[in-house]
Order: sequence, then structure tokens, then C-alpha cells
Amino acid sequence: MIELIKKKAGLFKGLLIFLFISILVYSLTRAVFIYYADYVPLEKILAVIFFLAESFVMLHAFGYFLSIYNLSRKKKELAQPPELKGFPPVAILIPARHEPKKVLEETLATVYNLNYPNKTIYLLDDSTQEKYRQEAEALVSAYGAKLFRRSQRHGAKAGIINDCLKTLDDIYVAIFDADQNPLPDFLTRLVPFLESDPKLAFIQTPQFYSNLESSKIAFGSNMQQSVFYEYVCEGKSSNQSMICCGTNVVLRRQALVDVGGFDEATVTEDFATSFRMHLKGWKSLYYNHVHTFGMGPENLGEYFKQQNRWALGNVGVLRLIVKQFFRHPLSLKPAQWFEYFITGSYYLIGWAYLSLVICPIMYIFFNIPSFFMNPVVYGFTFFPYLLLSLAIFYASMSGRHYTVSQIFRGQMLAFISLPVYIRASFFGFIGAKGVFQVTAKDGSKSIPYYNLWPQIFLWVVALIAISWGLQKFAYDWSTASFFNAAWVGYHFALLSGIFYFNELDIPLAYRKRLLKKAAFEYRIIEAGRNFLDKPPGKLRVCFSVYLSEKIEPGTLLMCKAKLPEETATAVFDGEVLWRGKRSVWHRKYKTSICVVTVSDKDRKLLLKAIRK
Amino acid sequence: MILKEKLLNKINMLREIEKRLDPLFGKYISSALFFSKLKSQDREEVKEYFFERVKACKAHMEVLESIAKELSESKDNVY
Repeated sequence: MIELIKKKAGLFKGLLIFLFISILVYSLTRAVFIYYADYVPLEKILAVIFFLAESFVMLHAFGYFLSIYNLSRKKKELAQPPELKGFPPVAILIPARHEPKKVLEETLATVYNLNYPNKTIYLLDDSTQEKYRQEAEALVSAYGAKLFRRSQRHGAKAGIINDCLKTLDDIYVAIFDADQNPLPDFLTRLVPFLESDPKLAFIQTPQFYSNLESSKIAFGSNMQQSVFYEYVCEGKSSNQSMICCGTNVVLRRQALVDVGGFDEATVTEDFATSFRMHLKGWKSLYYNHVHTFGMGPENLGEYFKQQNRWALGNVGVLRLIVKQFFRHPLSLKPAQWFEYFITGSYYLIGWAYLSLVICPIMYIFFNIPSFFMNPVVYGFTFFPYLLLSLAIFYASMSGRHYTVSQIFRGQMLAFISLPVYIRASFFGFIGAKGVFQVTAKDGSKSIPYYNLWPQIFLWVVALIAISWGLQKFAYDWSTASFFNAAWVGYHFALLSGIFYFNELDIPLAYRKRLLKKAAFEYRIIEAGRNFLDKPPGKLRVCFSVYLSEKIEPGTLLMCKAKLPEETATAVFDGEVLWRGKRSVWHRKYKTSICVVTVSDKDRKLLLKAIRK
Repeated sequence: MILKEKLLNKINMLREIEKRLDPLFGKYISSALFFSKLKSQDREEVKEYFFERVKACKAHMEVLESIAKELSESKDNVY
């Protein structure tokens, strides 16, 4: 797709200009209709809110398409700089607080495995609970890392990194969140970029969630991230406004020290710090190759917590950006200001969504118009923008191998987060600081539906509005009724995501029964050759076994089983996810087990069987 | 020269790394393949390569295990 975009740079430029004209025509027509329409003040207020919401969405859409256009102008792919002659010292920082041992151990193992010789690993342990502190101590000793702790806690993740920075003299600092696992060549690939440009403050790589096959939330979240990392970041990088994302990044220590370390006044310290770096004339770069794999949030609660933190922090930083813009408008280039404004304001999208949902409903129920436009004019001005923007968006994403259904799932997840965005952006706007909370990585839990009342309320109202709107349309054949009902239908489909994403891991009707009867749920890590087409982690089965030995979640064991859709019995090596009492049940993979073993000797024998 | 205990620790560490990273990277490769849009035949080929890699890792582990066993049974303390 990138090649296509580059080859067809002229076409993309033409489409972009056409899109810009269509946005302009639509916006101007809307503004004129609102100004001259003969309606009461309440209707006009609603119309202005609706128009602002639309303009917000259009501005961000335009920012996205501008990124694609910038990409098309790039003469060639980012060239890999010459290989390193020496290896400048790199400090690898892994901030952690109350992280599960397994998660931390995987990260330490992958970081230890980096093929960069001159590295020192620091585990920045901010845990207060004794259990986690002891685990951290054991892990650093096992993996030859250094443990950093502080006596006084301040500034959460930014604070502990800043405290650690004071003790370092390495030239570069690589940061990984506790659940991010780099590939072996991460540093050998990235450090040469920093070595070849002394003004380069940091180089950022994308995040990629590896648990997307086992979690719908992680999948949807990954889709949202993809929109950001595939094109938006490339556009930002070409405009010298790529922001640090706080993980999977290598920074020049001198640049960090120059801006006084990470900004501790916000929960999105990476965003604020990038802004300060650019203000001081430092450069940044985005390297669009996945070199790190991590885990996304696995349940709605964790996802909302993460989004709340990002929205709160970003809107807080937006205040700083706006203030700086009015005080020193020449401190950044116009393109940089635009990119920072777009990034900082993104999470105001919750307000835009709310307005877009409410206005058509108000028309259907109360005949309060907020869209003063003749349907024919609407058709001629709005549809070119809508079709063009949808076409470019889906074409750009499908070029990176994402399907329409996958993109829609990402959109659903963003849409149902609207109450979170509204709340967080409000607090961010009034300057509330918020608390840095770590995204949990220990399994999925659903949210009770009464805690999701804003989404459910909107969903129910939308459902009633659709039927009411269609009834109106059947009665008066008015195009306004039809268009409003259609929009409500679209919002209803997006809001239905609340049931899709908040699905219980185990179907509700059987949950109680499972707790009583199931022995354990099992995740396959490695399967025999005949099962290789099943991605590890995707297949989860509950096995019926009578065990003489104690099995806990996390235990690795081998099983021999026959699954319903297969004819042959297969051997698996896997991990116990959850333990019940005895016996078995699973709706999809109702199965019987022949052998289960946990002894090392038997595991070896079965491993041999797999290889044969 | 290295003391037996230190050498054994290093070997055990390598075994641990092989043991942990093998399934981990396998999981990641599988996730990446999910979006690859490769034809099923190509995907199978990638998996076949991956399967070979898995076998190599297991073989490494076995070699390391045998070295560790030999070392622990040996009377020499310096290598």
C-alpha cells in the first residue's frame, strides 16, 4: 500500500485536495444554513453544538489524511544508518509496580536476550507490597539486572525514571513497560539512528499486542493503536512532531536531562516531555517496524482505565500547548503546532460522539432540528465528503492488511468509551492531575452492566429512536426522518459493542456450573504437527481429568486429547490458566482426555512424540 | 577461567532463556501471522520454518542440559 501511495502520490494529492474542498463546501453550507435558518434559540444552540462536533471529526479526519499525504511525499523508506563501530552504553529501564512475576520475568528474559553487548538492565521497582518486592529481588538476581528503588514516591512512572536518571551516565536510555518484550535486534537496529544524528532526542517504535487472539478487547485496542501507529505516527515523524509513547523507545539521556527529565505533572509524561523536547529544538523519529510485542488490556475495566489515563493526560497537556501557542507562537513550526493540537485534542472526541448521538434522537422524539439543511443540498454536500473519507480511510487500512470488520471493531471500542473520554477530558480540562494506574495483565474480568449504565442508557434510547424514526418515515415519507433514523441505527450498532466486548469469558448460564465442575482451562503453547494451524493461545479447552498432583494456574503440563473437529488424537504442551475442582465442561470443545501428566519424565516423552 | 558454580549458573540461565523465549516468540510470530494476509500455503511454510526453529531450541536445551549434567558430575572446579 505504501508503495501504491508513493506511486500514486499525484492521485492522493488530488483526492486530498478534493476532500479538503468537500469539507470546506460542506462546512460553509452548514454554517450559512444555521445562520439564516428561522428557528428558535434552543434549536440554534443544538445546531451549533452538532456543527462543532462534526467539524471536530472532520478536522481529525483531515489530519489523518494529511499524514497519508506526507507519507506519499517521502522519497524512500527510512534508510538504515551505517552499522555501529563501537557500542555506546545503553541503560535499559523497566519501570514496574505490582506486576505479576510471570509478566516481569518474560520481559527481563527478552531484554537479557538483546544482542547489544553494552547494556545494563535496571528494574525500577516501585512496588510497596512485600510479595512483589521479593519477586523483583529474585528476578534481578536471576537475570543479572540492577534493582532500583527509591525512598520517597513522587511522580509515578515519570518520577522513578527521573530518580534513576540521576544515577546514570549511559549515553542512551531505552524504556520498556513491564509487559513489553523486545526482539533481540531492538537496540542494534535503533541505536545507529541516534548515533548518526546528535540532535535526535529519541526514536520510537510501535506497540503491537500479542494477546489479540485471546482477547476481544486487546484486539479492538490493537486496531485503534494500528490507526495511530500505521499512518498517524509516520505523518508526525515527517513533521518533526513524533511523540514519545513511553515504551519501546530509545532516548538520548542528554536530551532528557536538557528538559529536566520526564514531566511529572501529568499522567501522560511521555507526551508532555516530547513537547518540551521539540520546543528546545530536539528532533524525534518514528521507526515503523514492530520490534516489541506486548500485552493489551484484556477486559473493559482495564481498557477504560488506560483510556481514562491517556485522555486525562492528553487534555491536560493540550492546555499547556494552547498556552505556549499564544505566548510563543513561533517556538514551533505551523505543522508541528497542528500535529500537537490534533494529538492533544483527540480525546475530546467523547463530546463529539455524544453530540452526534443525541441530536438525531432529539429530532426523532421531539422534532427539534439541529441540522438545518435541505435534504437534496445535504446529499450533494455531505456525501462527497463521507464517501471520499471512508474510501481513503478503509483503503489505507486495508493496504496494511486490516479488514473492514476488524477496523469496525476498533471503532466500536472507541465509541463505547465515550463516557470515559467525556469524564477524563473534563477533569483534564479543569486541570485535575489524576493518578497513574498500571494496566493489569492478569486475566479477564467483565464489568457489571450497572456500571455501564451511560452506554446502556444510550443504547436503549437509540433502539427506541430507531423504531420511532422508521415509523415516522413510514408515515410521512420525510427524508429527514429517514436520515436521522439511519444515523441513530449506525450509532446503535457502535453502542452494541458494549455487549460484544463485555462478554463474560465463560457464558453466564454455565458460569456457576463451571465453577463447580470444571477442572481447569488450558492454553496450548505448543501442539503436535497436526495442530500447528491453530495459533497458540487461540485454542482454550477445558479438560476432564482426575489429578493426583496439585495443579495451579501457570503450571506447564502436557495433555493428549481428541478435539471434536479433529479425527486424530493430538498431544499438547500448554499452560493451566484457571483451576476448578474436577471434571469438565466446555461448550465449544467438549472433549475427552486420555493422558495428563505433569512429571518431567513424561513431559520429555511426550515432547518426543510431538516432534515425531 | 571460570568457576564451576558460575559456569553452571550461566548454563542454567541460558536454558531458562531458551525455555521461556521459545514459546513466547512463537506466540508473537503467530500473532504477526494473523495480520500477514499470507496465502495459507505460505503461512504453512512460515509455520514449518518456525517448527524447525522450535526443534532447534529444544535441541539447544538438551545440549545445555547435558553439559550442565556433565559439569555437575565432574570433580574439576575451574574451567
